[in-house]
Amino acid sequence: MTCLLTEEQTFIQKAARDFARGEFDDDQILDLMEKQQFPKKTLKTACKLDLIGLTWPESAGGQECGIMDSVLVTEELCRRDSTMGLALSFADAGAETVARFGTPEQIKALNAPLLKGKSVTALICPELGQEPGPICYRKTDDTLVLNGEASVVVNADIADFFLTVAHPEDGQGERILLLFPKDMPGIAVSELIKKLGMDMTHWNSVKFESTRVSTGTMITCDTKGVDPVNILEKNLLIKTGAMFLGMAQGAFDLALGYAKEREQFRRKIAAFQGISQKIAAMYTRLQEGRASVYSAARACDKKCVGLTDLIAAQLSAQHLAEYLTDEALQIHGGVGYMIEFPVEHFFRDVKCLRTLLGRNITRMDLISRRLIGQLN
Amino acid sequence: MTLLQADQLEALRMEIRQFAQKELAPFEQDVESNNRIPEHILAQMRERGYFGLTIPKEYGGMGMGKTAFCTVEEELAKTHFAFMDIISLNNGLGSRSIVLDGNEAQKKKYLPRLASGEWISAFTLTEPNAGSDAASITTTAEKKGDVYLLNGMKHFITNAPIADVFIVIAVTDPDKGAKGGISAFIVEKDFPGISIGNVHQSMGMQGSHKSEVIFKDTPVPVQNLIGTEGKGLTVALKTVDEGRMGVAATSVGMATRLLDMAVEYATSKKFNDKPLSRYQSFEWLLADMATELYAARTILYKTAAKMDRKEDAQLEVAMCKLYGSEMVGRVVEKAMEIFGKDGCLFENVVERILRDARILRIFEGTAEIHRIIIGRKLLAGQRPL
Repeated sequence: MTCLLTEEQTFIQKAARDFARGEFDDDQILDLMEKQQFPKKTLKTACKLDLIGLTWPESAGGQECGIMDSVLVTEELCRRDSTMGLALSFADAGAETVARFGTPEQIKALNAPLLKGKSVTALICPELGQEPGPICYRKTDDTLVLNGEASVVVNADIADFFLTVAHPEDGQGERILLLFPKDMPGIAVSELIKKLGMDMTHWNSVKFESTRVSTGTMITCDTKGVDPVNILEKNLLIKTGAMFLGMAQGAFDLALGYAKEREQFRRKIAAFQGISQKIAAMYTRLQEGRASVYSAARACDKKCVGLTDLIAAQLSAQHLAEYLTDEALQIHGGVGYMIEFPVEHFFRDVKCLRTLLGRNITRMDLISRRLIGQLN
Repeated sequence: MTLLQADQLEALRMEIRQFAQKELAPFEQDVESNNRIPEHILAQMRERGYFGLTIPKEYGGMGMGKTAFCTVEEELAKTHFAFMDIISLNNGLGSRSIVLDGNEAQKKKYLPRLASGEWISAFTLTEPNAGSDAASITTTAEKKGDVYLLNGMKHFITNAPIADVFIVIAVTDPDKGAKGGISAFIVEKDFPGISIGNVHQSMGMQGSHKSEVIFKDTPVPVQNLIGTEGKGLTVALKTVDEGRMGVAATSVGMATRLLDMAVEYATSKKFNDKPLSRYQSFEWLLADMATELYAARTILYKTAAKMDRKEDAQLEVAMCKLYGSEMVGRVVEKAMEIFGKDGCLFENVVERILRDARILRIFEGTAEIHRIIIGRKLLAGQRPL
């Protein structure tokens, strides 16, 4: 499928691959995981190489690249290492919405430090299909009063700003997108949440209690009436799909490498048909998932994709990643269960990201509702 | 061996269940956080005779049969894996070869200590280059006068850092190799030249300790050879079924816990406006979990009964291990879907069982090795009964 990439895309893919191969260090990865630390230094290097802000408009300091280009970057980062890749990929999650729809002040506040690797985004967004979301607003004159608790917010303790989707308290009106500083009265960020994987990505819960922000913090529709929350959702779907795809490819790389190295019964285990067929089956699924994610990404760039196909692509990549990391671990046998071997954290990270995104069932409901429509 | 009647088995199950709920359950998170079983729990387990359940009565054990022991393993595995794991060696791979092939002196010296839990045992077979292919071990035991000198390195050895006695499988005749060149020994931790290498950090199994064991010119008295020289692999392979049934029983125990938790969660937690259990999707997940669990439990106890009748059950044991370990993998997946984000949090039992259950498809023979064992037996004309 690489031959279908444009020259520019091949260049971007290679830049991301070289960066991940050159800058990710296995010992450092285990160390950061153990300490549950965000990889600040590596993020800065990524910024220097313009790997952050790829899809943002030039006016916001971005590269004006397409979604497909950014998918290639996310895939390469998560392929080299799931834990490091996910931490870096979540560093700017949602920021392109601000870059595209935000005021110059908002862009200056959020995007400018992000481009220098000095900050990360914290996105407070309901699970897809969750209505209403955990955070509600009430409007009084030029002030919005926020209430509610988001049980998991990525990067909440290390970000400076919250990018928040809020629903109207009385159910009347639209959901809105807000950008405001974290250190405001009425915001409580919990301790770090201990969890299954994603050991370099911080999770906290965030509680709003009558938090008052001005209506000026709202990020509103552009002149064509495009809703920023819609774009945010779509971009997240494709981005997380790319994360799963990358982790699946990474697990495949590890499994293939190990099967060709490891000897038992006086031959490489890849010489056993039971194992070689696993490799073939894994590759087949990988190609399916990649086709699904790439075509959704290309459709995003042509602005001709709906939520249904994006969810389908994400689910496809997720199932793929769950299957591949599981099989890759199995091919490793006992060592696959040991933390020194990266396949161990690939396995945990895929499951952890899966739960972060909400339940499969909810996303399947969204797809089926759109396909079936109203029944008589 | 004393076989228990149905009502006695039920009484045993209830006794273990009450003990597990009252004494073990409150310390599950403690084991997970501190990576060790509290001493007062080990003391209670010793007092209750849990370390010698399968060891014959004349050597201080309870002489329990397979059905009864699987019952105990299943109930303990519903709490924290470590509670089941700590007693499994003394009752299985750590004592079984002495029970089956040891001489009277060996039995008298070692079995009572293992049965009381005074000594903890480890089964020392796997090496970095001999995992699935156990016959290709390179640790040697060279006979010099009235001792064998042990040299080599073993890894992934459960209990090694805390073991008092090791069952060691080593090569006594490199020319013969797997065909009569491998022997089994009883090695005490105080014998010279034994060191504990790297302690393995793994995805799960907190509270259960695994490490490398290195032997350097370790002298083992000839009287510590189990059975006859060259029969080590036979001795070892006779005992692996114990561990495999343990894996199957653990799988059933873990899956039972998950199912109970999932039913409770689905009926008590709401999504959007109604309880999860009112959604057909969740109801069907529970249905699949329970159906597979029932199948795994049924073959487990049917096979245990066959072993209790002293019939050859290697084929069925392999099936119980393969199906049980894969079953709990699928059950935990479904539990994660039901629990959503909660299932991913450190304090949640689903998160822990997800990590712990993943080893079940790997150790005591991988799923792939089990497919080979089952396939060969089928092609040789055997069928499960």
